Amino acid sequence: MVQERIRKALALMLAAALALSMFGLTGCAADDGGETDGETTDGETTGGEVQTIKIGVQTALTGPLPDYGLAAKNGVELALEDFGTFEMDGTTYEVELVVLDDKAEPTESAVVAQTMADEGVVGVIGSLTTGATLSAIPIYFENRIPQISGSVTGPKANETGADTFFRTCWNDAVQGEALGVWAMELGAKKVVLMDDNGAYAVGLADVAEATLKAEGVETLRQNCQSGDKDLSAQVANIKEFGPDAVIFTGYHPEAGLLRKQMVEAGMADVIFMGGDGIRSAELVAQTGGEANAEGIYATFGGFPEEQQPGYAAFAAKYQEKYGEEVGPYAQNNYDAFGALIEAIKQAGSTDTEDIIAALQDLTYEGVTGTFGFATEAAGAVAKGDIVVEGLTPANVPRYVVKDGVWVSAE
Amino acid sequence: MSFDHIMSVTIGGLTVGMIYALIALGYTMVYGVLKFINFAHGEVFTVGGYVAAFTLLALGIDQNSPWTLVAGAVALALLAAVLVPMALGFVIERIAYRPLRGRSRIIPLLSAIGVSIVLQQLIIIIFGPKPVTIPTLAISSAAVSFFGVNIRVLALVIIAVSAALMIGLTYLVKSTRIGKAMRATSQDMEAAEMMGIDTNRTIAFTFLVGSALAGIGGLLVVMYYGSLKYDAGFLYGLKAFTSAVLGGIGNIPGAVVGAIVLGMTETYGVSVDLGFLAWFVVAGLALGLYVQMVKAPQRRLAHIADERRTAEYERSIMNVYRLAPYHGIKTLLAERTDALLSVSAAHGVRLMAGNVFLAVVAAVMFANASMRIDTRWQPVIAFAVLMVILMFRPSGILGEAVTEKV
Repeated sequence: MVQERIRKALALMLAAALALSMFGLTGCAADDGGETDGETTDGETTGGEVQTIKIGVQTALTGPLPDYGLAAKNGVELALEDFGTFEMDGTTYEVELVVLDDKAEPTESAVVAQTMADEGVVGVIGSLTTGATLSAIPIYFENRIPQISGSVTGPKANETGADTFFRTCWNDAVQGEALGVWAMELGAKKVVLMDDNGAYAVGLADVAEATLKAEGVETLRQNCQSGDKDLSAQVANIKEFGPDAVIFTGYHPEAGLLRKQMVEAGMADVIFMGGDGIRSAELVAQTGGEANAEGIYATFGGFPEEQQPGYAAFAAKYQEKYGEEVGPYAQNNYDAFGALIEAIKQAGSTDTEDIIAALQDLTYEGVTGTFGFATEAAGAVAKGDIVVEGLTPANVPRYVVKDGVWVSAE
Repeated sequence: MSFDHIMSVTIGGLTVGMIYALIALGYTMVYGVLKFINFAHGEVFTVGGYVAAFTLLALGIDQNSPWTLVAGAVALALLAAVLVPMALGFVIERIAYRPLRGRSRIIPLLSAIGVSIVLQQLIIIIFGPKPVTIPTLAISSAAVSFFGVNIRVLALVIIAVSAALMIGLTYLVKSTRIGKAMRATSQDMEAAEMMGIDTNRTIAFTFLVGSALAGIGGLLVVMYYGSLKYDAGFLYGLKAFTSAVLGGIGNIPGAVVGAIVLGMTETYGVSVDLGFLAWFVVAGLALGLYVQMVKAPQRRLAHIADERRTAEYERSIMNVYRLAPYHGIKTLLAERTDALLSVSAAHGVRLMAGNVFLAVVAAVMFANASMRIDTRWQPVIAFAVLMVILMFRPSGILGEAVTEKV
């Protein structure tokens, strides 16, 4: 009896502690808001005050693509050092980052977006992947928070045409077309297109398939699930079809497995291509070694580094701070942050409605070049897409694995 | 549809199935003894794979290493992949399950889900979120030619190892002292204790064996696919658990049979054309007809009391099965004069309806013989087949393990 009572008391205390800790957390968040408000009024009366604004970073530090997620976060953090403090109307603004992890999952992404809105951010950099962004866009739209992604390349990302969505990387429609054109340049007559059922991969494969079919190339479509280990069914199907080229539009973990299992099934000489989802240094290890990875082609959703005006300086800073090569899309995320700050300055306000309007008219000189955002959807271009001068499917950058590293395929 | 294609799909499906089997054996053994599903088992498998991979990486093995070195490293990795999961399984049982023994069955189940989540996060914290990859070794890419079809030696090793472990395990449970203790514990824990069996030790032993098998599975997956991610255990665990239920939970050969059926369905469903798949439906139809024409009437006849057993009565029972559309429906519509007869009639009509359905499905499939199912349907097909099997045979293909007399 006594034991039972002690147990009950313990359980109650634990529950109370849990409830309290949760209260404590929300309490803190509310306090933060209060302070910011206080400083605003101070700023207006005395001038020269420091005001803190929050900018969200929605990325995926765990989940299937932690290397991409970390690169995005690094890019934003570098930009924070460069643009994180600025003056506007005599007030010094300091940006505080709110970094949240959506694990590249749609459900998690919706939670993160809601948290961002509750945190009162004036803008968000992110998210990392197209699939995860789809569920965040409506929430940011509802809450009128501008969102600039540096790596969401899926054509379907902004099908709803939300005016809060912007991106500083290219739409995959460009890459899909480029992959199709490239495969034909390489002389492929039969091509397998394979995706991982994710929004990014399906969008890319659809565009590539349409491009190939329009030119009379015979195609076969295959899919797998993200996280699949065994692709023997698909590999057997591919082998039977006997293609000249396989275009895998998903990400590198499955791409590596597919390539490895294709080589093991005696298809080492079939051209293997993919979009930017496979252009990671991780791919080489995942194919089982340099020999298997040799000659894998990938397009990329941005001009080559040497054509990006600010890249050399950016890479040097990145190297110095993180001691490693620039990760995928780091500079696009850097630009996303820079563009957001520039829009705030041009709007002359931290009101999100003003920032959204300013982003639509913005022309920004970033690391990757000078760009603006599309105000209307037109053809493959969606609302909020980056607008880059002189971009065609044929000059989309091409890469190839040589001796275990990605090099330009020109 | 070439022979080449069928062979590679079959070997592929068999290999996947045997990997599921290695994990499923752990689920089924623990269930057999404790009537409890150890949801943390999938994570034990992942840990086995990670430990094996990091052992290989730490030893600096690559494709240029001499084979003696590779063999030594693989042996060491195997040792690690067995011992670490065993220790983990033991600790999990000791701290998360044993204190809850004797409580309502739902409580250790929750504890198991908790352990599973904790383990997955621990793997991320200790090893990082990136998938672990090992370099391709000659041993894992070696292939033999079989009638002109290249088959990876490792696939054969996986199949052989799983089969051998299943046989060993059956022997262990059926014919050894500890196996007897396991069966006794499974039958009645209290009675077993009164008979002087240390049930705690027996249960701990069950966990040790199950975890070791999962660890071996982890090693084989890493060697075969070359990489493993921290959340792999979830999907593998789910599918292995499914296999165990499909084969009859608690039943050791059943776990392997269920795993093979699941693995084969996954690969066959999407990589052979409907004309080939239809033959499986035809086989199902043959089985269905056998049940309708022979098995079911025989079973029913065995229920007839001796005093009623007349040749005419027997014939009318046979008729409601064999000529179900006519006699069966007639009997159903007529007044219920005889309970056994009307039950048989209803059963016969149901069986016939099932067989007609299978025949229609087969005919439709043959009519579209060259069509192939989109790979997007892979999980749908696998689980549809699973549900159909369980609908007709709720206790699994080989039946749930019935505890035999010790």
